[in-house]
Amino acid sequence: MTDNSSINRPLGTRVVAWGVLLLITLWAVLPILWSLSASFKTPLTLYTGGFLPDDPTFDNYRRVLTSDGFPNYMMNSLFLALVSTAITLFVSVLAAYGFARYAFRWRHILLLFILIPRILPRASLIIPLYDLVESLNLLDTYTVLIITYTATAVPMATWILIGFFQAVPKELEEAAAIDGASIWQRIWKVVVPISLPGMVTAGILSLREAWNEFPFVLAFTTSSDMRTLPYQLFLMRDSMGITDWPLINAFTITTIVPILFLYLLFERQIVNGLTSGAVK
Amino acid sequence: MASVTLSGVQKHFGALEIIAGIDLTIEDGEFVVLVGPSGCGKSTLLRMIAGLESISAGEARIGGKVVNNVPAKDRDIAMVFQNYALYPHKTVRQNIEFSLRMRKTPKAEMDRRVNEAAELLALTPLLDRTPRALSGGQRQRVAMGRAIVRDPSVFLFDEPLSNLDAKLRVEMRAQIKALHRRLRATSVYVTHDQVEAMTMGDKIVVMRGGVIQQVGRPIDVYDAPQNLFVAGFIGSPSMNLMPANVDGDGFMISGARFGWRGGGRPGDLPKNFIGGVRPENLRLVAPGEGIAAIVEVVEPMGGETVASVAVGNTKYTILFRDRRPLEIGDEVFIAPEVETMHLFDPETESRIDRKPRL
Ligand SMILES: Nc1ncnc2c1ncn2[C@@H]1O[C@H](COP(=O)(O)OP(=O)(O)O)[C@@H](O)[C@H]1O
Ligand SMILES: [Mg+2]
Repeated sequence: MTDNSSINRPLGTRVVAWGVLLLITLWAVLPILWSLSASFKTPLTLYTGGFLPDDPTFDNYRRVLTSDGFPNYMMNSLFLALVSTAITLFVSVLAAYGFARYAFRWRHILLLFILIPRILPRASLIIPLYDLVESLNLLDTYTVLIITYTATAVPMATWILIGFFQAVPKELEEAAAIDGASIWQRIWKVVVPISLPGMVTAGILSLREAWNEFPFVLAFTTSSDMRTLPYQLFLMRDSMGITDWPLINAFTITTIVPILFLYLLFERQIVNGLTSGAVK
Repeated sequence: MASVTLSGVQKHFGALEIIAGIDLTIEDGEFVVLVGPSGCGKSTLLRMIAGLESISAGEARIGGKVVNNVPAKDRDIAMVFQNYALYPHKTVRQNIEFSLRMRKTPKAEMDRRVNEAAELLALTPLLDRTPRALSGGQRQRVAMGRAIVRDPSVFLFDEPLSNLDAKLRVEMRAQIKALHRRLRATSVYVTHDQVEAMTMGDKIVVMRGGVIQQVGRPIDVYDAPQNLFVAGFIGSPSMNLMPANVDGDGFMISGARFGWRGGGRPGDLPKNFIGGVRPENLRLVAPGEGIAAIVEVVEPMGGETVASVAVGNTKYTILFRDRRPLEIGDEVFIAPEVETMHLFDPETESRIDRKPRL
């Protein structure tokens, strides 16, 4: 193990490695830090002063949180993200199990086929989908958003889970079968728990996609009751004569925090799941 | 408890025939060992009994009932896998109780049985650990615990000891036997290790290429191997198979002549035959009296000595029950103990019984 660590490498190599890592980190984090900083400034002080706000104000956050309909938009986003993630995981587990465990005709072709919803640009789907949704009388409903979010997340989640499921030794399922488990119990009590890291990865990605989704919600909903956070963010930019950047940044940060929180929460669960019993 | 009966059982993978047609009865409470070289179809046969592999032809019965189309979960069997197949996300207790949970056993009953099994296998202090925090031997015992907790009608073992070190293997061998004496459960045990087969089986089934070669009590198989394959496979070190030919009222091996002792020349002996001589039945004799051989390998084991000698290109093994100051390159003269020699027909490879010629 140690022969792989940086301890044994020449100083020059280490400096370069750390330098590159630092650059990548800054590149990823700087915009968020800038956004965070801006959210504590006022429109007047936005471009003056240093990176850190001289006179930080919570006024932007107060305005975001007390703005009209904000709790409603937040609930919409949460509801859509959680429900479509739950459905996505349920469907993907069954699909991935089939792909991972059964050798059937056209398996590989089918695997490519299910990627189609992700390969097509979302914008190109909007017009045909709109017609379809309209004729189904589903415009401006949660149902249409849940269906479209699930449909686009399932391929990704399935692909992720197939790899994890294939890594579960077949003997474990055979042992479970001999222990009296039905195929349903084998999937949910053996294969899925062992693939927890894959489940969490697929879950977080699908959650994030639904949380951030914008084109569909823009196209398929009209009433203000249906707005999600990204939609509202877009409207803020649009509807104000002079763009209030600090307010928008406060809104952005407020939008990021729940998903970040969920991520950290689940990340801890992954680590716990993998190490429980090993240290106790 | 139940008997297991296989009649004409075959297995094909596509056009490939793996099991050629097996007839075998395993009595209620019997401990039967399937033994044979790797790839001979032992696991496949076991998995067909378990219901993990379909049966291509023939019939399998457990407790008199045909199970060909009964899924594994309803066969009331337990199986210990070579790599244990413990559920990595469950604690030892959860691993052991899983089968009881699947059968909706009441909590109190479940706890009682898990604790009993854990006690029996010295697993009590480990019940809250996960498999990754256990040693190989401990994992093996958990796998055993998972099997016995249910009190199934048949136990199946697929090389359960092959991942353990030599010392632990001997210990577990004894433990499994003791467990069997106590539970008296019908057991089918697969191994490629003939020592395990000899020491554990009430009955052993020697297999090769999907065909049963011989069935019997270990000692009977050892004493009377039915063909060349069984002769070479059972016993360690392996039996020496010495090409011989009849010569008047005696026989020749590698230019040395020996006389029939005791019962005289066996009947029905072809001109050329193969003399099977166990290493302990090969003796050193005075120079000029036996087959000349060169010592090639000497393995002093303390109390015993195993030597490998070469006669031309052929190697023979001799087991001495004492220390022998042999050196590599020594010329020795060897002779079989004629009374204990097994006779085989080189054409059919099967055993020629020693019916004394009248
Ligand atoms: N699913 C399968 N498809 C094709 N051949 C198989 C399959 N499973 C096992 N075999 C073949 O069957 C033979 C017997 O295998 P196995 O029963 O595992 O032998 P053993 O347990 O005696 O070592 C081997 O030659 C193996 O390659
Ligand atoms: Mg095997």
